[in-house]
Order: sequence, then C-alpha cells, then structure tokens
Amino acid sequence: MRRRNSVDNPTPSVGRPALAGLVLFFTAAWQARGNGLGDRNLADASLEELMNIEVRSVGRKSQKLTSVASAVYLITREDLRRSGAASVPEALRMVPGLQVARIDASKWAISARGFNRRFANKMLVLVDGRTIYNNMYSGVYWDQNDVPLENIERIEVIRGPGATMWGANAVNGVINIITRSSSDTQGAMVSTGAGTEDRGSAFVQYGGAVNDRLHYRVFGKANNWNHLSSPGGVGSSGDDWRQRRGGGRMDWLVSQRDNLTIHGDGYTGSASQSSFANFPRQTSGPTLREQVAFDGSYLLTRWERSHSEDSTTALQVYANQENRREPLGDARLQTLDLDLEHRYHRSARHDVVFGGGFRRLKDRIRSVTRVFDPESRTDHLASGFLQDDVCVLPERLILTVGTKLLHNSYSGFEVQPSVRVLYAASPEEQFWSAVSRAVRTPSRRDQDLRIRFDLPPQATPLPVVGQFGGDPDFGSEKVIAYEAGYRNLFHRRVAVDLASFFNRYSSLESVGAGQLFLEPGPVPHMVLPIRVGNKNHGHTYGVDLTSTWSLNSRWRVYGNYSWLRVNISNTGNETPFLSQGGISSSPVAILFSEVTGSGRDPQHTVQVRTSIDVTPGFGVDAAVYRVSKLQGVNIPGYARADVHVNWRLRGGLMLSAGFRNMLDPSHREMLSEGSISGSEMRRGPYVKLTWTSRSAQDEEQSAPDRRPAGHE
Amino acid sequence: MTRILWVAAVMGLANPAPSHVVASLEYQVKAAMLYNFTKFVEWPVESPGAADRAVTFCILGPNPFGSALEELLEGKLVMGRPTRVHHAAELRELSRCHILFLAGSEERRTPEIVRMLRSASVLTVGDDERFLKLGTVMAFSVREGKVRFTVNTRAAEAIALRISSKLLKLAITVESGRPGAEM
Repeated sequence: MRRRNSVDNPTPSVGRPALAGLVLFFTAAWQARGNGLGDRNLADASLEELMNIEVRSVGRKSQKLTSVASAVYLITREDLRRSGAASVPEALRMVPGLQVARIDASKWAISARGFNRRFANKMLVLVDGRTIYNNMYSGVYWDQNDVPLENIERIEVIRGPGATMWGANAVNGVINIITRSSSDTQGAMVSTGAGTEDRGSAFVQYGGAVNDRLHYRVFGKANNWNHLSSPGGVGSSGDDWRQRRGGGRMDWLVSQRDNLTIHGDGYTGSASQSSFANFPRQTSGPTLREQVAFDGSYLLTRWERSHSEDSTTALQVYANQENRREPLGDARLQTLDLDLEHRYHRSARHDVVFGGGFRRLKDRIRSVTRVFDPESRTDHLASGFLQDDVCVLPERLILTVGTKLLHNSYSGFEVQPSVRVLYAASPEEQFWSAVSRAVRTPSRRDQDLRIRFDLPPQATPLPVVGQFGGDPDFGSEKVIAYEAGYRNLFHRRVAVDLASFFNRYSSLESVGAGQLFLEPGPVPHMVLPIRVGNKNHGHTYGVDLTSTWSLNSRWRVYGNYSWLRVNISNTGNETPFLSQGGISSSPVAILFSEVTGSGRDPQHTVQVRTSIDVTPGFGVDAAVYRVSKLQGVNIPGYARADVHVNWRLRGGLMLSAGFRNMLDPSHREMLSEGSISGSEMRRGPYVKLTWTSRSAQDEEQSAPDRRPAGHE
Repeated sequence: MTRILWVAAVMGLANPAPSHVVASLEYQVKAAMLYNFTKFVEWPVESPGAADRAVTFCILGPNPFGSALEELLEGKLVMGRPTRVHHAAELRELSRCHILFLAGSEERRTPEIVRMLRSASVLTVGDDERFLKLGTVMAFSVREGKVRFTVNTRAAEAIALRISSKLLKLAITVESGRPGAEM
C-alpha cells in the first residue's frame, strides 16, 4: 500500500518534477519564471543559481508517462506562496476536479470524483511517501497533519486510481505532498501572521550544513486557529483549535551513489467542536461544546542507491504513532512501515519498476461504551507491485502496464492492475487513456465499530436501542475506472488539459437493519442491529477542464471547470423493519446518509484565478470559485473570492496580506459529519510577515539581482 | 538517456531540435553554464585560434540547444571579445574553438578528438559524465535533478588551461583522468 514517495522522487529530498513533464508542459510558456529566477534571464544567472535549477526528474520513473497518462495537477512552491493559503487543505482548493469543503475550523472533506465527506475514504494522501490515511476511520485527520507550507516543495494531485503504484485506497485519487530537501532550506526563516482565520501563528526554522554533503534543518511551528461562524452565520461556532509542531530533517549524500534522508516531526494540539446534543436522534437543535486532543510523532528514513544511471534501489522505513482523544473514546495508533523498490531501464523499450512493502498497524481504542470490538487490534499488510513502461513507437506511443498485489488482514488478497497508454501527436499535443481497477480496503470502523443509541419511543412494548456497527465480513469497495484525456499547448501560451472518466463501482458500502432482538438484563430492551454491508453499486462520470493562459511573462490566468455526476444506487440498503413502519426512521436515516455519504458532491465547480507580477517584488493574485449545490444534503451553491498580495521588502522581509471569502458574510460548504454541527466560512483579512536570512534568500534565489562573478 | 530525451520531446521541449524550437530547460541551463565557464577559465595567450577575435563556442553533434546559446550570447562579451557559435561539422575545425560542447552522440569519436586537440587549448565539455573517462576537460552530469559539472584538472593542465579555483569549488572535481574515479 502506499507507494513511492511522490510520483517518483527517489530522493525525496530533491523535489523534482515527479510530474516533471506535466509541469514543464504547463510552464513551457514561461519557463524562465519556473526556474526560480523570477523574470530574469538565464544568461544573467550565476553558476550557483544555475546549479540550483531543477532540470530533470531524479527518477527515471518520474519521467515516465505513468504520471502523465493520468489526470494530474501540480501545486508548486510558487503557487503555494501566491495563493495565500494558510494550510494544506486550503491550498488544495486550487486543484481542478478536487472538491475541498471545510466542515468546521479543523475539519475538511477533500476528495476527487465524488464520495466526498470528512473521512473521504477513496482518496489516498501521502507526505513524503508516508501515508496519512488513517486506517481506523478510512480518511485523513487534516488537523493532525499540518505540514508547514514553507517546507513543501510541491503537491501532486492525481485524480483517478493510483492504486497500481500507490497502493490501496487510491480509488478516486492520490494527494502527494513532497517536502523540500534540507539542502534547499539553508539559513534562517521566521514568519508570523494573523487574521480572521488565524489568531496568530509563528514559524521558525534554521537550516545548516555540516559539510557540502550533509545538510539539515530544524523547525518549530505554532498555530492558533480562530473559530468559524455557527450555522446561520451568527456568532462563533466554538470550533477554534491550536497546535504546535516541531521537527527536523537531514539529507546526507553518503557517497556518489548513496543518499540518506532522515526526518521526523512531533506535534500536539487540541480542537474544540460543536456537536448536536441529541445525535443521532436529531441533527439540529441544541449543541454541546466538545474537546478533541491529539498528539503524535513519526520518524522516516530513506536510503537510495544508484547502481548506475539506469538502476536505482530505495529502502524506506518509517514509524508513526498518534493519539487522539475524541468524545467517543481515546485512540492510539502505531504504524511501522517498510518499503523496498527497484527501478531499472531494462532496454531502450522498457523501464521497469518493482517493489514490495510490509506494514504493521497496531491500535487501541479505549472508551466507556466499548465503541470498538475488539478494543485493540494488530493488522498486517504486505504488498508487491510491478510496472513496465513500454515504448511502443519512439516519441509517439507509450504503454504502461502494471499491477499491485496486496494482502491485508481485513479483506485478504487484492489485485489492482492498470493499463495506460499515451499518444503524442506532436510535442505539444497528447492523448491518453487508461483502464484500472482499484479497491478501498476495509478499515477498523467498517468491521469493528459498535455504537448504541436510544431510539425514540416506539409502539413496541419495550424500549428500543439501535446498535450501529461494522461487520466482520465487510469487504473491499471496488472500482473499474475508464479514463481518457487530452492536452495541448497552443503557441506556448495557452495550455489546456481535458480529463474525463467513467467509474463503475461495485461492493459499495450499504446499510442493513436486521431483526429486532430482545436483550435481557437489569433493564430488558429490544435491540435493532444496523450493520454495514457491501451491497450498493453505482457509477460516476465527469470531465475536468484545466487551462492556463500566459498573457505575458508577468500575467497568468487559470480557468478550470469540473462537471461531475454521481449515481449510486441505495438499493443495497436493507431496511425491512423500517419499511414495515415499525420504527421511526429518522436516526436510522441519518446514519444511512452518513454511511453512503452520497449527495455531497457538487455537479459543477468553476474557478478562475489570476496571478500578476506588478513589479518583480510585488505580486497580486485573485481567485473566484463557484461551487454548485450539494443536492443530497441540501447545501446551497456558493461563490467564494479571495485576493492576495505579496510584497518583497528590503532586508529579506516579505509581507503578504489578503482577504478571503469576500462575497458573503458567511456560507456553508459541507454538511456536518456525524454529530458535528458544522460551521460556515467567514470572510476576513489576514496578514503575514516572513523574514529570511541572507543564506536562505540565496536558496530562494530571491536575492536582488546578483551579477555573475567574474574572474578571480 | 534516450527515454529522457524522448519524454522531453513528448513534453513539448524537444531537444534535438530545429533552431526555432525552444531547448529543454536542461539544455538552457547547460548553455548558460557554458557561457559562465568562460568567465572562470584562462586560455593561453597564443591559442586557440589567436587570429580569431571572437571567442568561439563550438557544438559537435546534434544541437540540443536550439537557438538558446545564440540568444544567450547575444550582445555579450567574453574576455572583452565578441562571441560566436559554431556548429562544427568537421573535426579539423575544432582546434579553432575556445570551448567545445560534445553532444551525447559523439562519445565514440571523443577519444580521437581529445587526442587531436592535445596541442590546442580547447575547453572540451561533454554532455554527460561518460565523457570524463574519455579525456574531456569538463563534463556535465545531472544529479538530483540539477545540472552539475566535473572538471578533470589534469586534462586541463595538460593543455595549459587555467581554471579558477572558484569554478573548481563548484565542480565535482576529478584529479586525474582515471576512468570512473568519481562514479
């Protein structure tokens, strides 16, 4: 599961266009800008600067069209800086075809191609090859994974299955966050900001070098996030949160052939949230303020050896532990993961990559009501994969075939093959198509959850308790995805990328209510079991249009549109008892909608962004988003507009400021999840000041125009 | 390598390119480096092609730079002299070059070229690290996605080229021409 860190970035340290091809495709029209030299010409760059420009992917794999014969989008460091986003989830809004909806201040629902919800279980998310997809709940705790934006080299987003290379749960997409090598973050950096969203934040980092082969950095970060608005837009939603994080990284070029990277972070934080007091009987009415606390740490080591230009082996090991205290119970998760991969250029026609991995997950959930049964579990996951890129017609046609075989404790063996083909009609114009199979493997929640709740008074002689639970027989959800895409770069000014898909799902999660039974005890009562199953199926289809228009070297306009249809049948939901009218259905219906999670995907999403360099040191960015209503959960459509300016001052200071959500005082983006009452987005300003030391500026290549050094 | 070139080509950055086509970023950077090298190298007074006033940049083999090198050198003086780009077709023209870039395809001929230029102070620069063991003075390599270069100081001394320590500091230096010394 998981797969390589980045579409391929054998040296995680070195951020390289894993999707190099694509980036270049989109940046060809303004290459000089993409090289970090701003508007300056390469001719004026010094040797040191030239040596810092990334010209090629490290990994052969990264050059491969596996990464290109799919719908990919890349967020660069420049994009991050120019977006004014305060966190990774917020930055992801710019990705076409990715639905980003904030539930409350610390919770987001992020998914591509449908099935969006807080625990978006069909989206795999990785940070430097380490999965942050939580296998207890099948989703990502974004609050716990607040990667400092300052250290992100790029974020690659693949829409569509990435399971062959990346592992299970990459059913609808993969988000791959790649952090910068410590050799690229030398010097000191301090930044601080505040605004409506962010009550106050601070980031401090120092990067140094032991010698020219061994670089390191250490950082500390603290954020104090403000609450959003309560539903209806009046007052606070009581969902403020805070976290502190510290970490470091070391990149060591041990020899010409060996590269060693070690990094780790530790964090602690807490979040407030508002919950419906009478959930699941009611999803309205009075709310309670609850506290969530989390902490955790990880350590990752990656060793790479190049045997020759054509062959590389990488070994990666990481350990992760996290604790989370939720109202429902306290969860502790420990992960140990080992991955080995080897890639080689077998001949002019074949590039092969294969590998294997092993993961051990150990958890323990403590709660008064024993919401998980068993409370502690150790699971294993073993996987192997093989992929071959075949050059069928040189410079024209590339065929990629591969498969992943994995075994996990929940659903046994899973096979996830894919076939991709890319045809280049000309250097500027490409067509691609793919067919793949991917699975969403069961999580702890799907098999072991057990929540009891009182049902409203019934016509039955005894009180009835609902028991919502997982099923030990719950299996994987499956998809067969058909994709096709087209890209063209017109006159090196307008880049257009069209990606379409048709996904056929089977064995989707369903809910079934069983037969009432009597539970004797001090207070005898009836129990209505409600269990998840795999009886739903359906299909989704849609198109994403991505375009970038470079008006001149200082002005770019981005226009994206996504159209998405989700047709999931709920016929698999079995509600015999309900249909007989025996039990008031409201809480059960609520749970049903939770489980199937359908109807939370907008049919239309439009975004227009523009990025202007008014002067080399002063840039203005603006973005407008329009998201259509979420039909199934009654969230009206909304529009959002943000502006951001950044201004390079003297002495290594950078000032940025902006205004978010300018169009309305507040709006809702997603229906509350579970008992969470949810919040509305607020409008408001923010400001941020960043100082970088001289050496860090050099790394940033943002120093004032330095003339190349002459003869000594 | 083939694959890389072709992917570059597919990506619209074709590299064995007609001159109107933009060179790949890699070759734009390499072109800019070639120009930069000239600032750190001293040629002996009498050669090469002392009669030639212009500092000559030669390219042997399929030109991967497109027009990047010409554009880059436009209006630039090297050692106070104008510059010229020469796409060499014949080996005997090479002794008139100040700096000679050998494209990847020229690997086979390189030992012969190096031998031929033994008495001419031509700064030979190979496209990739394979060239080093063939005796060129410098060679590019791409490491961690970035362009690096190696200097064979012994080869430079042999033809009386003085290479500034500043350049050597940035280089992955190779003392001798020992094959594969660094790799």
